[in-house]
Amino acid sequence: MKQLKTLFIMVIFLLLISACGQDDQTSQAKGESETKIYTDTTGVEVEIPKNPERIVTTQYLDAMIALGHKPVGAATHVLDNNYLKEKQEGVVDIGNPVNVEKVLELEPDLIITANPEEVEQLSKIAPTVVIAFNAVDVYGQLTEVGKVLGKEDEAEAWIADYKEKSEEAQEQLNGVIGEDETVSIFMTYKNILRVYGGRNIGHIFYRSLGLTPPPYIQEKIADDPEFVEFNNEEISMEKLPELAGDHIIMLNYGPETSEEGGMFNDIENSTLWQNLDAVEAGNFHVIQQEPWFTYSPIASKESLELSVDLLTK
Amino acid sequence: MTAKAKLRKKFILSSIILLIAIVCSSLLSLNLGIITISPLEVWQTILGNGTEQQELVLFQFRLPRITLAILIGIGLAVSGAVLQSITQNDLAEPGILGINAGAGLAIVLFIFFFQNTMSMSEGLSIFIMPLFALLGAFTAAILIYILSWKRGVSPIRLILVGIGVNAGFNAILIIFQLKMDPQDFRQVTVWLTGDIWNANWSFVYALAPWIIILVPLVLLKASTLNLMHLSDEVASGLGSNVEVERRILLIFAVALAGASVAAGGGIAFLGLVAPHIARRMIGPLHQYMIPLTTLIGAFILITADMIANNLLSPTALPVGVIIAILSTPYFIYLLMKA
Repeated sequence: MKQLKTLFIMVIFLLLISACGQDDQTSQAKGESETKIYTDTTGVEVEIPKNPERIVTTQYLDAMIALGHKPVGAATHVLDNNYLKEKQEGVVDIGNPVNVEKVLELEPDLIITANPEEVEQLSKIAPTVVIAFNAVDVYGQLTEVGKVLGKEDEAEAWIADYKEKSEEAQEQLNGVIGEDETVSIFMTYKNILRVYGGRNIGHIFYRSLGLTPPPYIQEKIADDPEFVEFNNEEISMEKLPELAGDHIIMLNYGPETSEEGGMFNDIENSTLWQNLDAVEAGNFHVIQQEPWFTYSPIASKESLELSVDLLTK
Repeated sequence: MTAKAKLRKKFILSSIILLIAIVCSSLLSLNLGIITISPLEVWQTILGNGTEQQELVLFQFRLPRITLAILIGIGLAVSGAVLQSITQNDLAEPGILGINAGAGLAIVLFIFFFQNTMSMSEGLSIFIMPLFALLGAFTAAILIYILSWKRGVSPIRLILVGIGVNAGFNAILIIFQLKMDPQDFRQVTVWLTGDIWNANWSFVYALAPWIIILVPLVLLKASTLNLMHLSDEVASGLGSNVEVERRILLIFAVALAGASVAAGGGIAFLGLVAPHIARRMIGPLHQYMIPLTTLIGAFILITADMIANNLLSPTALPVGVIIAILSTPYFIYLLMKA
């Protein structure tokens, strides 16, 4: 009996604590704004506002900022970067995994996500479209987000500008890397070694700068001309001589790989590596994960700007 | 009063206390969240007088999560209780036996091989991952059972093989995780430590049949469980077909754990702690122990989920981590008492 009494008092106490919150939200006035139909990358037709104002995204922060429409909320993992700086000021963190109540609190009129699983709950808050990350290349990210925002022209202009800058960069690199020389892109992460294709890190070097990948990667790209499928392949250290081109780009992701026992540490100290032509000639460049590893528009542009210096050093 | 009547009285009292605790923690969980809704408004919304937004938050976001927590808590707790009894080992639980790892590996394989090559419609993708988890759980269980077969399956072999399979699956899991891009890796880690973030009514409807059907079935086998908990010799001496019963009960335990893990991710320790507490409260008689285990499991998970979701808003902590933190003092206490 005594236990029941204590429990009862606890209940009252707890209810009193939660009563301390005041709800001052007014229900949304849903104006009759125009809508359009957008077919997202999963094939679903969604009715979205023509001129969305408050947008929440779980992935495409970069693309939205590039198109001049800052979202009101974005997921933790995309906000967690060093290259957007003031551009992402004011964007609210909606958690990772997405906290539906946080999104609701932001009162969005449109939600852009990369994950089909999130649609069921998010679509209860606002119209939700899916742009699957692996359905498009980085230009596609911009184009699709542009379609959603009604900013197709801005997207086209951005892409045209980027391609122009790519050509400028190619001219600047004239003679630095011979026309029949190949460039390989490797990445180390903890104790993993990978070789990369035309997505992600390869976008700058192979697509923007027009450099030539090693034959193995050329084949992979030939099979995947839209750059949506092949991202990278894990390899063992012994494959380095076979895949290493005349120039080597090495991206080290995270600190563990350079510490003892890490892959890059092992590679650097191996005679295999030291005997590679590219290494002996000093034609290898180490890059860090930011902004190179982020496969999105503004990051790609920054990487492009860094690339000329990187290769001419 | 006879000992039997005393026990019965204790059982009823404990059940009432736990039910009240469950109601209280559910109500508290319903009231907490980023969108502030006062208890009066909660009551009004339940009566149908709330705003559209309040109904959305309460009935589409919070209530399914709480319901799912209850179901998963029951599922994992009962699974643990059954495993402990059929292995005659109080440290057994679905996580240790590799069932979580089996489900986890299936999820990792799915994300690694299929997620990027299949463009799935929203409806399908929500259910495929849990289905894979369930398949993984059963594969692990079948593997463990086959490997521990030697003219029957002795409890100790079951546990040892389970631990081995667990280690093996976890190793393979790590290999695949490292092959992934950090983004997918993050998604897998979130799943592996248990999270009920995607709680919606579809998941509840998917999980509910498993719990509603299997738990009463386990309860029906309470007498068998009483015997098996003692020892194989006593059990077969008293007429139980030990091998068959063990197999059936194992299937129940794996199904419960697999379904729960499919819905809520890899939540460890719950299946270990809940039966322990139940046994301390009411003793090893399964007719009373199993019902109390369900109540304790539900209560722990509701509370842990509430803490996980509200402690560091907007980030949701993995429920599994909270339960591990809550369980650790209990284990230390047990160790000190031993």
